[in-house]
Amino acid sequence: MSEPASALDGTRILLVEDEYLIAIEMARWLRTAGATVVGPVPSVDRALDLIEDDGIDAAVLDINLGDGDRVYPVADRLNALGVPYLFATGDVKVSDVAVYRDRPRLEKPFGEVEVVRALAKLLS
Amino acid sequence: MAGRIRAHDWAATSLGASEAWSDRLKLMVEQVLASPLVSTLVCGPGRVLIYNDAAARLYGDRHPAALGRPIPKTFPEGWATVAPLYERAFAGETISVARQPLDTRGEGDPAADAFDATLTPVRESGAVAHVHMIGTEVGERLRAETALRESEERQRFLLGLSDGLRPLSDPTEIQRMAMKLLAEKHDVMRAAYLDVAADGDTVTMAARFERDAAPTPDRLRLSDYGSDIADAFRAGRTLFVRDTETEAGSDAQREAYRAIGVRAWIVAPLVKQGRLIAVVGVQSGEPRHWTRADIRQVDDVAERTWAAVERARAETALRDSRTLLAAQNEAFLAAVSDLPLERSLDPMVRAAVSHFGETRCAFYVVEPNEAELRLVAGMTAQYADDVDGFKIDADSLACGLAVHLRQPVITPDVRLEQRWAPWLWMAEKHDYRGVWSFPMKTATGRRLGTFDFYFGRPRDADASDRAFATDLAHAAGIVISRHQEAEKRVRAEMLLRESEERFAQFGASSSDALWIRDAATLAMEYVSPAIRTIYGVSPDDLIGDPARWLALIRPEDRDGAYAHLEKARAGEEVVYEFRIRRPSDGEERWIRNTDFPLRDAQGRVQRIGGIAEDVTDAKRAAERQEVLINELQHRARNLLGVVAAIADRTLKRGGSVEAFEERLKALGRAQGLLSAGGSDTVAVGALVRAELAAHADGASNRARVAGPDVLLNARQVQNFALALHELTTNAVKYGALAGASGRLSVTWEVLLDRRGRRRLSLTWAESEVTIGPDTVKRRGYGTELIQEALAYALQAQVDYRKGPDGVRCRIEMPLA
Repeated sequence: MSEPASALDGTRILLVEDEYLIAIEMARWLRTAGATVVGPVPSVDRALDLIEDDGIDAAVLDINLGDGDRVYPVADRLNALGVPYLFATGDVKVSDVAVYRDRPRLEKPFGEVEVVRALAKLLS
Repeated sequence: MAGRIRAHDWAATSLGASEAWSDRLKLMVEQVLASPLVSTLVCGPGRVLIYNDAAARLYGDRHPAALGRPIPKTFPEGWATVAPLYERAFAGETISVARQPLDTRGEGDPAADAFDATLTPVRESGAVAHVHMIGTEVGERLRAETALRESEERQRFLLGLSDGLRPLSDPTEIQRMAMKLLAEKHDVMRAAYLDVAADGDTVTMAARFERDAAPTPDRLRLSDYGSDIADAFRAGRTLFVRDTETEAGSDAQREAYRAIGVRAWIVAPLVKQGRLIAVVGVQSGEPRHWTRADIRQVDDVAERTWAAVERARAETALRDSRTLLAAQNEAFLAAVSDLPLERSLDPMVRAAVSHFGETRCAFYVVEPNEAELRLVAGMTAQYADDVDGFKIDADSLACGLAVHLRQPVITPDVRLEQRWAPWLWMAEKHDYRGVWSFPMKTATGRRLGTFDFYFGRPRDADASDRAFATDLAHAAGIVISRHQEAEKRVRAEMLLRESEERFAQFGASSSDALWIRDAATLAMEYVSPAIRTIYGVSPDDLIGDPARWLALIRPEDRDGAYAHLEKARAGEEVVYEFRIRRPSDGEERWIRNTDFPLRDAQGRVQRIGGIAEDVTDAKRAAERQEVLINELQHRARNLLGVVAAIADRTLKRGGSVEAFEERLKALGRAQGLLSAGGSDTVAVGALVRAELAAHADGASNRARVAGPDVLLNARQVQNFALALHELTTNAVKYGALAGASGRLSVTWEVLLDRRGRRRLSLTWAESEVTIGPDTVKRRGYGTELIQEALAYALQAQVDYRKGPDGVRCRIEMPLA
């Protein structure tokens, strides 16, 4: 709660989350913290489109996007571009591949403060 | 002799000087001298003796002093015999006697000589003045005749003795019969056969025959009757005493004889191989003038009796050993043919009957507890019940005592034996009096049991009985211990066979494959049939070289599998998993092996045992379960995120708690339907009806719900349920379900898009609803959920319109 409202001022944050209610809630939190939200989008395809279109500073990625769709291709692209990201997921199991395993992770359910603080840390 | 007569000083005799003799006397003297026979002249009242050369030879050392002396003075003993004859001759009678015994030598033997003689009176002046005797010495002939008679008598006696002893086989009976014959022959009060103890002095009555005899102890000491007696016996001399009162060496000895009422005796020794073994004697209560023949008979009887006893003993021993050998042979043959124990022991029982006469037998063996006996053969089942568990100790009797003492226990008569008092009922019940128990032992000396003999009448065991029974018990011991060994072996074999069968059955029935390897070579020795299912090979394919097994394992798992096998060989129990390529169908299977060392008696790892199970299915199930758990977690956490979001939107923006609760309930219903189906899907119709039913009683009457069976997945269900919830809530508050007049129709169908993908098209149509103008403008969170959420999450196209007669909403979305 002690995070300044402007913690993410001027940043562009990609938000990938398949659950609409969670997605719009998170988007609101990020905007409140001063960020410009890229997305939110519920799928890998649309996320990849946004990465190509807009320059982004960081990303919040849900892993399990429903119907077996996993966010890892997006993560791979971000890795390639050197864009920092964190996982925000309800899954217990995250891919054991080292590049994903070592990323920061938020476990659902999480609150506004945790997301903002984690992103601020990611960007610092 | 004529010279001596002429030279004799006759004047000193009652005959007077020879010159004064009458012519008749001179003539008679001439006749005497001329006779070749023994011829004498006893002259005058002085009985002066004149004799010829033949007589002189007969008189021995009494000649020549006898010449001219009165005959009674020279031959006091002989005269006593012949005086009456001479008296008669002097009275004028001519007398002839035949075989007149006469002690002419004065040696005390009244029968030393004997004569055929004629005594003739010689008269002078009408009166008998002298007696002329002419005699023929017949002693030699008589002695020869006597000897012949004695010899015949002896032979007759010995023949009688032989005849009497021949039918007898029992040593004691032989001795007793010999003593009877001897006693009768000598007409004595006692004849006895006494064994001499090793000390050479103590003698024990072995057999005797007595008539009106004073009692005598069974045991005597030779030295009590003369210090040199034993020495004389050992030297082989037969001794005799004609009258103990006159011949005994001392008062003490006389007293000793009186004590046993003996006045005369003959005792012959039996010396065999330098040792005095027995004496045979006769005793008389009266003094007896024993003759040489008497003495000789005792000698004869002693020798003959001894010989007969020895022969009988040898025959008995021979017969016994033949019986025993035959019985042994038969018994051993039966035993090695594995006949029942009873059958194997039967020859022993028959041998006992042949030796002892009527007897019953029983065989007892020591129980494993070492404290009791069990009857294994013989007697009756009833008897076995009565005696089983018989105690082995010092207080026991018969078999129990014999095992304890390791010596035979002979009970001649149970009624006379104190120990038997509490068991007399048993002896009565089974009708026996004498019991002999002979211990049996194994070849290694372990006590085995007893061989018991039961007799209907009291019976003691003599040395021969003991020897025979001991031999029988020895043979029976061998038979029984062999039988026990054989039983033990059979039992062990049976256990082994059972164990093998059990193992084979175990292996054959196990759905896991069991296997055994040799620890030294790791060669496979045994594989159970389940290997066909698990490895897809036959058991034979894996027998032998471990390489045959390794070849089936995926190359990357081989080293690990082999390393685990080595660990088991080192004594560790290991569990490990590896993959094989199953030759039967080429499938890859996960195998879990449990290996354990099998050790020998010294604790060395001799073999490695193992269990192989196919864990492929279990592994896949575990993987699926992990996926499911992950999915469940994902869903639950997402749901919590959704709930948090709904709470945020509903409550923070002035919405009602009721509305929040209603939305939560809708989510809950959707989750409930997902779980209830078990397939993680829900039919569209079920979802619609559940939502309507939750909000409006009897809504189904006012709503038409129709469409094909279409299943929605979990993700679709949650969003779809929330949208339906918002539609229904609106209808209940303001629309078709609010008033009595409104109508609602929910219908759906499945369409195909241009690429042939299935799409759901659902239409929510309200009609005949009167809607207030303020409500038409309103666009709240509910409507946003319907429009935005479905579009966002399900790529749905939503057409939501509020018309004058109610809401009309069309939702079209792809189906998975």
